[in-house]
Amino acid sequence: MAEVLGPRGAGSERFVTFTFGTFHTVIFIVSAVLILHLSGALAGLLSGLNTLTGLALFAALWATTTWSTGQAIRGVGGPIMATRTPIGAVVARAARSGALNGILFLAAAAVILALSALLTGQGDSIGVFIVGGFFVVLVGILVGATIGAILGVLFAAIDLVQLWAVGRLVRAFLAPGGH
Amino acid sequence: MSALEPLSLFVRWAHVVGMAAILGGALLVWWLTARPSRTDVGGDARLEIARRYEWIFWAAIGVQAMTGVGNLGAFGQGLPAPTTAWGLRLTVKLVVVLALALLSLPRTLAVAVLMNRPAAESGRSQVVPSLYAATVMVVLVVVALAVWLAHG
Repeated sequence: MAEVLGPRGAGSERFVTFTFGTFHTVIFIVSAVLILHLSGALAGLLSGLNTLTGLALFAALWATTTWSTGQAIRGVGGPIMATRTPIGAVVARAARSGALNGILFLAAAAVILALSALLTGQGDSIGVFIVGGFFVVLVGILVGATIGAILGVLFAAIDLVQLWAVGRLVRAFLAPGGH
Repeated sequence: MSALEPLSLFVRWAHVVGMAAILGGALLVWWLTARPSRTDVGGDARLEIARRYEWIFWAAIGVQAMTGVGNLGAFGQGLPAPTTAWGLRLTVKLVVVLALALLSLPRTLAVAVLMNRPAAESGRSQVVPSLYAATVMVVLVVVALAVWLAHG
């Protein structure tokens, strides 16, 4: 299996990175929406955001997650090589990339929310974002990095299970006498 | 007219177009891969089409998640509670969408794996149509739930 999914060129690497990055983003967002919906908090959260701000936040999360996923994949020599890398190394790399993603997204979210406040005529609340900026620097980095690292490790575990399953599936179908 | 109304309409349009791309593409790839072709005996051309579909699929499912949240946001505080019939349908739809994403990653990886396998290997021609048939079934459930949510 090691030869079949490892980056064979820029196009192949982009394909794998985009797939995993989008997969992580979609699973995270849909799970978050589901949990918020079941807890009854979704309406309150969404009504506080306008459509454009929501789309920009999603786009930012998609971009930072895809980028950080690419960093994690390259670090272990491609997704299949990850299944042959010591688990400690995979966990460490996933945690590092996830933490970086958490910090990047938090910074992007602060900028998007500040711009949204300006564009929607809520310029008075910009002070909140300036104070919030200090909060991001002092505490937000720690919070974003911690949450990002936990999610990074969780997604690495899901990815490895999926890669293992694909290996089994393909071997079962392609084995002599397979159906 | 509010400046955000055209945006809301665009979000709804993008949500429908994204689903059309996912379902239509999966149906097309299923049909192409299940059909024996004299000019593509090893199935390389069909696998290349499948790989291109996977790009479209992941771009579209990302757009679906983004615009789906946007559509929910349009309800504002009027979003039905999870205990209502509509809220329950939304819960089921979200779970099925999660299942679709979880089941689609192995499909994409399998296509990438098979592209690097010799064309003559037995079983290759059966794997791909099965994966896209399963995708079509799950996507049809999502579409049915979406229609039920919108018009039920």
